[in-house]
Amino acid sequence: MALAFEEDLRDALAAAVGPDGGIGWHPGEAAEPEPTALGALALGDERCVRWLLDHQDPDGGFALQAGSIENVAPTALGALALPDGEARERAVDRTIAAQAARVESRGDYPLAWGWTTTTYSWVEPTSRVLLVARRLRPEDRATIDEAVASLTEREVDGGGWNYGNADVRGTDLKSYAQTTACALIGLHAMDLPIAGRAADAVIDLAPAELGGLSLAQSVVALRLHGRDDDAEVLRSLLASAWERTRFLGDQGALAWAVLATGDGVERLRVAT
Amino acid sequence: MSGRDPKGSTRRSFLVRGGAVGVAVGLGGALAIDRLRPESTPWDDGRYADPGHSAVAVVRAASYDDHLEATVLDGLRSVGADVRGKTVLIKPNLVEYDPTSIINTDPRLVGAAIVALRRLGAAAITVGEGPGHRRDTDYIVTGSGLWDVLRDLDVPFVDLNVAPVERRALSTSYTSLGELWLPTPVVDADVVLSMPKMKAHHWVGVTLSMKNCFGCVPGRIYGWPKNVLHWQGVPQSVIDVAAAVAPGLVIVDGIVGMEGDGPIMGTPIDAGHLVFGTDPVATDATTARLMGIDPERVDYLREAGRFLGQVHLEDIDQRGEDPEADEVPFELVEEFDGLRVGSAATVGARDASDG
Repeated sequence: MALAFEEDLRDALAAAVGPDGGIGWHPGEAAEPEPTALGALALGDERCVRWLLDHQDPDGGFALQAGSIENVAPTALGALALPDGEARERAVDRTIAAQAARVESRGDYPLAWGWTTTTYSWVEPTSRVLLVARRLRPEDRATIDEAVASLTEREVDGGGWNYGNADVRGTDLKSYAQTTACALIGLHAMDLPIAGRAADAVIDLAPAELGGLSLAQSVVALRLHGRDDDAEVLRSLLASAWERTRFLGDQGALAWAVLATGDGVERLRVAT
Repeated sequence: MSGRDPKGSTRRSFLVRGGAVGVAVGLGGALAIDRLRPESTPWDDGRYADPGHSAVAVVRAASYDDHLEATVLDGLRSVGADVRGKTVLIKPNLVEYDPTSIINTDPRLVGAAIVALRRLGAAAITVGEGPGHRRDTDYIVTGSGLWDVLRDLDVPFVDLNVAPVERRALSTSYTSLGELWLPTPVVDADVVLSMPKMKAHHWVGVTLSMKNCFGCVPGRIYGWPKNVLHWQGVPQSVIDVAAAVAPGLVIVDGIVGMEGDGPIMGTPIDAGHLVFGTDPVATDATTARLMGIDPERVDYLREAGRFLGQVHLEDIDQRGEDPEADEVPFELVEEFDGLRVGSAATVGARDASDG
């Protein structure tokens, strides 16, 4: 039964790879960098890697650009998915360079990274950059320290993260399973109190946040952090979520689920 | 690039290179604020004809269980809702989900709207939302109970954050965006039905059908929580986005609303009403009056009343209950005390850029 679930996920994702090697957000849709990069990581599919190489921006990024708005966040996933070489180095450069804009009212704080370069930074894109730096450019202590400082500043009281600040207008915010899992994926295996609290928070939160993306990223985070038994508990909930909605056809969530249940997760692991 | 979206365009065609990315926002905020000055007219005159009188219906509804489908059908008929043979995209408010709160448009009301629209002859109905605060739409849709309703009624759901998009040039310029990339299901729908929750809002005072259109802005381009819009100015963005989405129908869920620190952390209030309309500005203005708020003190409603719809009481054909007689005063955060009908207080400025 368990094997059938894993095979079902993997078959569904393999079927999502288009003739050009790319993956769209939903079946039949045009390929985009984020689901394609996730597919490359989850499946180890050379066709997805080729699509990424063919569609890398001149600046090394994998941005979604619509007029004046440039969403740079997929670049980190592209960097993780590319093989060693010049293309990967340029993607890492672009990932790290795309810092968020400063909010003057917040004074001296870590800039960190956002979805777009022209706005504030957020937990998920910052966590992606942390993972890229730790896995692919561990000598870049400044980037790693900035990302960790940003996550430390924004940790919700008791552990875990909301999607940005820990409070709004003086009111403490709740932590979410999905954003906390993203942060733990970036922090995994680091000997830091926030990483330990994040793992506990994921275990506490995820059983009540039964969406495909939240559960898949929670399983990935716990596996990377060495909490395999806890990951196994959530894995059964992931199977139920897949059975219930097929993740609304979201092939990004599907790729995370394949990472959660397969060997592709090793492509995200930081050597310790 | 050989991948194609359902409209037949390649990725390159919708992800268009633009210039001057880095400097746009810093200037944009200041410019946008200037555009709220009464002497400026930041809209294309040729696109906005005088809407004439707008019909809005206020209907009492004590619960989500009693005769809701009939109530919704009567409400839609009373404002002349015309959906026969048309495709309808229903946009409820699922900005976030918290099982301990009442943030969302109640799924039972969405279900009642689907049944009513079918009775009125709608050709096809889709429900869509692009949650602002969560990336896991699967969790929000199932956790809120909407998934069960849609499954029972056999209605598809589309995640507007990751749906295919199309460029839409803006005919308003309260922000410096100039264009929006909107989901194809929104652009292609004959009618967009905005179904907001009746809520106070800690950045703009009140969030109703116009602000609800933020959920049509795709997160995978503009980020979460649609932070580009916050940096452009929330009131300014409300006008530009609502003008681009152009909802043709509105049903406001005010059976249970949210007062205080909305739209997420406020307090439930039994408001006991639904509000129906075909003019989002007029419907929001009437709903504001029902909440004890003077709509002409709400920046974006006052501005939208200059060209997009009706905000003045005398220009609204009020049907059903009298919103002032049925007033249910909502608590507001202190900075917005000045929005209350008859208040002498001023309204404080808010910075939503770091949300």
